[in-house]
Amino acid sequence: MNFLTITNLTKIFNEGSESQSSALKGVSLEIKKEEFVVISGPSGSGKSTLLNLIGALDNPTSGTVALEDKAIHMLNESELARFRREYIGFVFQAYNLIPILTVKENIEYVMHLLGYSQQECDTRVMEIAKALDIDTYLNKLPDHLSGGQQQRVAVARAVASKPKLILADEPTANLDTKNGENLMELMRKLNEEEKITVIFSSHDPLVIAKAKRSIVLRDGVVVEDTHR
Amino acid sequence: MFSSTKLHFKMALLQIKRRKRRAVLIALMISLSLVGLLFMEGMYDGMMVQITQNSIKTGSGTLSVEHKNFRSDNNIKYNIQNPDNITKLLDHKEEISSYVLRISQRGLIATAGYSKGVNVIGVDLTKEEEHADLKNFLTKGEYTFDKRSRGAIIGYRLARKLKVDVGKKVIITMQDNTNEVVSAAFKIRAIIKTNNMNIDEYGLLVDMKRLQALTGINGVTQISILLHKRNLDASVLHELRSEILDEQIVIYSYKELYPSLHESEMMMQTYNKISTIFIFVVASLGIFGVVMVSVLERVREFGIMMAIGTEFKEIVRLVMYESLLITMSGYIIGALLGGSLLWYFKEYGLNLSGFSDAFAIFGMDSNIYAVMKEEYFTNSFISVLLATLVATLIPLITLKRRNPIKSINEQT
Repeated sequence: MNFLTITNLTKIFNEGSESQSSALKGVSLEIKKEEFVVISGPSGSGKSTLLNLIGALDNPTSGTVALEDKAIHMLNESELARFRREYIGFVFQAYNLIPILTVKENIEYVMHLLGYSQQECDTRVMEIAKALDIDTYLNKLPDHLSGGQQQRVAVARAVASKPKLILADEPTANLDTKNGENLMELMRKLNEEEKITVIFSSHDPLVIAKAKRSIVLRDGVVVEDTHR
Repeated sequence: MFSSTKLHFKMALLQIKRRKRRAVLIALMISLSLVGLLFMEGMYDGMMVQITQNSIKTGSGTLSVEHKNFRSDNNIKYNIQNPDNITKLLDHKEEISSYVLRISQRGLIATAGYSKGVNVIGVDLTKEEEHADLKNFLTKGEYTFDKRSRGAIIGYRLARKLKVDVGKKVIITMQDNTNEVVSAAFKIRAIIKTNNMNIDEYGLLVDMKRLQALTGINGVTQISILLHKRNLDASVLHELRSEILDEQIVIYSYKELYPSLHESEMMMQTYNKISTIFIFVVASLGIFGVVMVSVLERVREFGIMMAIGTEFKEIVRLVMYESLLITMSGYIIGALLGGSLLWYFKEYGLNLSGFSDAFAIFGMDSNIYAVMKEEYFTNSFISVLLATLVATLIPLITLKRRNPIKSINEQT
């Protein structure tokens, strides 16, 4: 059984207007559980749009995305919110941490939404923080951290509640080479140890090389799908 | 669920802390408005209570029993000839706190140099002390009519006009019940200031029995009744009207005798409602401005929260917590300060003796005592609460329309 099934996915922005543009043109993909997939391609190829549609952050113009046979775009707003919190961990290019919460509170945020007790949150946060080497600044605010540190916190937040899927949109784009490599190693480790399916986008060849499966998009169409 | 509620409550607190100055400003605005509102409500109600109490105690009573023609003709022959029949009924009514019998006859008062129209009121000083608290209204002299009932107590404005003082003699001329002119001399024993113009400006209080002897009547022109609770007037009035079967007798409520007083009471209640609405509008505008800015500058933050699984209703709850924490802090501070201020003026009064005469015209003392009612606090609480909910709703609708998740999409 496929973990994620994308069928004939199309996304047209500003449909019907003069500035209409097709970001995705009938993309179909099947991704199995515990895969470590990179979506690459030049700017404007539709990488972010595809990740947003998989993560239910946007609605497709046509086509379906099914996660464990659940057609996610059929869900209403509340169901979508619950779906995102239960199934998906997001790592954004711009980190997107909640500025008023400390590192620890950011990491445990989704766990609170899922109803974890404070004790469960504390144990899990410590476990991840140690693994990601961020345990020394758990009480700091995100603004007081470097880009690399913030991105590790974002990864920690994404994996804390043990989601089935991690979606990372150009997670290394704002990091230097060393931090970028570290982050990819970390995500690969999480994929192997925590059995989490990881899909990330990138156009950095060094990063792309770390993935077990590479999907290349160009002008909204899949032009290459390679398993390594 | 509880865990996320606690977290969102904490986030609301942190957000307030982040925009401390803004929050303090709005809380201060609400608390100061509330202090002003409570002070005005309490003082205005205090004034109304004084005016009403003064008029009721020294004048009509809550209910006034009279001959049906007396009020239109003012002739002493229209008196209640057998007041005992009525007082027997009154003795058994639990709602009645006290009653007194009075005679009122218009006449002329003269000194060696001046004369003036006067309302001679025959009273029993002992009973009036308990009923109308008359003794406390004395400004000069002794609370007595002398052993031989030759003394009189005069209203302070009348005394001023006649230039009489305690110890001076005055001559009263009036008609008896056969329309014959009778005269009597009285020695002024005290000067009184009741803030009831009928007494202060025109009143001369004399012994009721002496006035009965002078005018040749055995009855009284009024039975003034005070009730334990003023708002029971309609029900007691209804009972008495059905029990007193003498067609010559009528019973009035103070609302009928002082329609302007009743209207003023109603006006004051309306004024208080308008003030509450004013607070509601001021609070709404203030909260609206602050919440709108606070929400719009955090669209992206809310977008992030929604992207990682927060439902919009949880965002609504978070913003509501923020607004309520600010406005309720303002309410609590305002209620405490305003309540303390009202308590002080309730206990010690607001002394405006410089305006004593002007206030007396309106039936008020120069020392105004505030009233403190539970409804001031409950009404303003509901008002602030509603203002918060209404003023927070519009920014939330705007936020929903902006689709916070879209805002994060645009930047990722």
